[in-house]
Amino acid sequence: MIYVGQRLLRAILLLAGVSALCFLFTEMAPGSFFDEMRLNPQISPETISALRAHYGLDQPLAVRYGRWMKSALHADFGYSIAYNMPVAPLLWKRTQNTLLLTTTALLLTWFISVPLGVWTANWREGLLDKTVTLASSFVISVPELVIAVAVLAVAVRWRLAPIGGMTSTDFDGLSEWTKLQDLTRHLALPVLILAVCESAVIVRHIRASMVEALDAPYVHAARGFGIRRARLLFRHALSAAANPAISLLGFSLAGLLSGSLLVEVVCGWPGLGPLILEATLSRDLYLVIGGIMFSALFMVGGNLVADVMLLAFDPRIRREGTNAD
Amino acid sequence: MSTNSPANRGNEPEPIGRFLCASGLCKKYARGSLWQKDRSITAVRDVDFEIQHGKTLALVGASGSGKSTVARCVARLERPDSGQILIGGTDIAQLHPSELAPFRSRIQMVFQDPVTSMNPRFSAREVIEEPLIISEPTIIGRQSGQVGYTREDRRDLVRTLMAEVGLSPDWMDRSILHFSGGQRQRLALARALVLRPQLLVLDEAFSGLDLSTQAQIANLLLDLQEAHQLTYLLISHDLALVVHLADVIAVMSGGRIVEIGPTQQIILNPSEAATKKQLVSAKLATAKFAAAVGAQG
Amino acid sequence: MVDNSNKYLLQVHELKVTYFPANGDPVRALDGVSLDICSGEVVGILGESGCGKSTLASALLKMLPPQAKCEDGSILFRGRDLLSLPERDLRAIRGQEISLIPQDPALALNPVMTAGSQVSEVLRSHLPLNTQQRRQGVLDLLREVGFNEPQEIYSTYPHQLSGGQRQRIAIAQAVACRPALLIADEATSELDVSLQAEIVTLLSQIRRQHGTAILAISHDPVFFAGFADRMAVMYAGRIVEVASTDVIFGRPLHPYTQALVRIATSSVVTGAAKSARLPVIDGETPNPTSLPVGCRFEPRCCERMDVCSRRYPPEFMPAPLANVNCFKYGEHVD
Repeated sequence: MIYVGQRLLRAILLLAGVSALCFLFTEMAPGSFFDEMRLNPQISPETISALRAHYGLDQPLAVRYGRWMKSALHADFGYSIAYNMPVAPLLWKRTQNTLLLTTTALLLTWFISVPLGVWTANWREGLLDKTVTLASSFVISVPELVIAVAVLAVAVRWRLAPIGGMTSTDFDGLSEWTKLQDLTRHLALPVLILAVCESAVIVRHIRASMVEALDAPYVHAARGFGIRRARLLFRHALSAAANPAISLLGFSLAGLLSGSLLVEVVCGWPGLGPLILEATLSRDLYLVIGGIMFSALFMVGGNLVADVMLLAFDPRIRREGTNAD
Repeated sequence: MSTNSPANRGNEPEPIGRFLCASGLCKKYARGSLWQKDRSITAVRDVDFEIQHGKTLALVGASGSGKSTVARCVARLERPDSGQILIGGTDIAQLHPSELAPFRSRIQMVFQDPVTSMNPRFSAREVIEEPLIISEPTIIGRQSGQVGYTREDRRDLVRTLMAEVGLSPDWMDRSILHFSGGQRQRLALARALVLRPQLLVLDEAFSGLDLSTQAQIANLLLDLQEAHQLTYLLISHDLALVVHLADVIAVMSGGRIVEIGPTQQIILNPSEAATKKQLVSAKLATAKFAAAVGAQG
Repeated sequence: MVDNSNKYLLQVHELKVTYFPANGDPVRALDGVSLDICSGEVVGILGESGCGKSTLASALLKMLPPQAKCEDGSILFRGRDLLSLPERDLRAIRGQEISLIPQDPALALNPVMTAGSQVSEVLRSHLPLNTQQRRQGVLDLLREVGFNEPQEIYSTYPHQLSGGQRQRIAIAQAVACRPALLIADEATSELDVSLQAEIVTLLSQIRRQHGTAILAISHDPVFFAGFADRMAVMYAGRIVEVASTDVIFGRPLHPYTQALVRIATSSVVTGAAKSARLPVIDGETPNPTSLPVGCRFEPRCCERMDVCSRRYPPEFMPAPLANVNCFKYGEHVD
């Protein structure tokens, strides 16, 4: 439990650090939301400074940060100037969509990577191994954007799946079952793009840690005791290889999140990505910070989940935890 | 070889007497994390011993009894938490690394596994002259007033050392991968000797070697000790070799020295349970073997 | 003639194993090794590193690394040639009929599985037991290898155990299905002296109780004293002498055996006065890629004759049940 507590404390400190840095950088960035208004002769400078005062932007940085922290603790995360409402509810709706996308992509990624990693490690230098290595090198070396566009192009050419948005226009009139089908079809492409890009990295890591585990003396010894190959692979080697793989889970979540921001923009998925982009372009200060904080929150949350899973899987870490009592 | 050639210069043997005196050595290893700093494991507590010049002190004991930690403290690879290590009137226990340099060349350590402590890309010559190149500008130059070694000097020195440890100097440009386990241990000795140290710390330098190779290395150590008045601190779990090589045996258990005395006294009249346990199991095997050998021959 | 095929549990005949490294010349690790083991017998293999003793251990289970090949010879176990058996049948033999106690207990146990479940895995793969029976079987085995509180040991992880305890777990795994032959490859060389003695005692006890034959492999002659019935001495990929342990220690025949025993005797028994030198064998083991044509020990032998460098010595039998490959014991005309 102390182990989890430590990780939790670390996560909170990390989030506080991220928020401070966010403030610093947005302060340093040139331009503000009111730049366009200033160019408009119909709006007087007095109005603008009144607006600035209204949103608290005339205060020094430290005061604004303090205020923001207070509002974050109330789960508001500041006030969006463009939408004229608290940031949190705005972000929350988009967050749900992003979460739906990344979780599905995460599941698919691991569903692809684990069997493929185990298989290629078992049949090293085999045809599948070579194909997978080649394919993953290709995917890793090509920018995500290019892959996304290529997948979209193929999908358009052969009308494989709908592109853009999360639902069809007539979504509200559909029955529950067809609603789900519609959603799934819209989900297909962005999830596919994300999963392919992420699997290319993950499958290599899993293969490497499986190879290491399979070559370990304890797996060799177990083989000497006549234990079946399949059981050797999935019970003995995979459990030993799980440790680095689970640590990877945290990283893969980070990769998926940053990937999803891009893919959402490209595929028109109404998630955090387009919102943050839009907010950044219009210098909607608190919305940007809020968006970044939400992403950071998932990342930290994902790592926390990975840490807890590690604790459950690896007795060596568990020992460190219990020793602390 | 002329007498002022690089190989022979360095420290002349000091008068016979105490070379090193350790007293009250303690070493704890910290465990746990940022949040629980107080958790630590005591590896060595209140260890006192002396080593006479040109003699061998052996530390024996079960694994985990603190032998290696003492060795690493003496070689100052670890900094003891408290206690003194006196060498010629200087306490090296708490010296700052920058002040340690002159002592580093006087104390050298030889490890159990010679392979992992050598760069596999190196040739025998590069392995042996490496300490020379690293430490030359700091100590040797200063001590002897000489500016440094030429490439040719180093080659000569390597040649001499290889011959001394029983390797053919013609092999100096071979990669160390071509040397067998015993030969690598000889290389490790040559490397340790290149700075002409006075004390060699031998940490399980025999484990993992074959019986006949062990015997060769043991004989080599005795030869070198006689030739250069070397002082040895020997760590080993092989009681037979310890008995053969050591003048004084210190038995360690649970981080303390439980018994220390001349070899014959420890072997013939052990007073501590820990010593007896070690001896009994060693003697049991020995006795069976002696019986088997004696029964026929 | 008496049919000997029942008497012998394992018959290795002229086994030749070669390593084909990815870069470099092939290395013949075993060059015509023949060895018989009877049921319930303890046979020791004495040899120094690189002599091929570990290759022999892996070959007996047909678990050689992929770059090694059995080029010739046969391994008959209860009349079946292991070298021609398919992997399925071999799997049934491994752990159930022939078990290997691994060399380094610190590395041979899976760090993320409990001690009990690792023993249980062996039972599971060979015997049709339910969970309850398996657990009981494991507890019995743990008690047998010397744990007084098997319940507690069952759920501990390897890192919580000492070196000696880990080796006991490995032994419990090895004997779980009551194999007819145990192979112990340097099973004690990583342990302290006192633990070595305990493990040898345990192995002797297992052999007494279950009539298990043991093939023990070590570089240390002292290990075999009071333990092995017969011993084979290996040098550079060949067995140079096979005889009873008494003969090997008391009246060794081959010059190599004689030298090994002399070294062991002087260092162990006398604990000779300091400054006396230990007896040694001059030189080094020959490079396996360029072995001498004749006797492989010839370059280091102090009793070598002309013939030794020309031909490999055949097997002579100067005493009953003692075979030696040395020209000292036979005609040496070409």
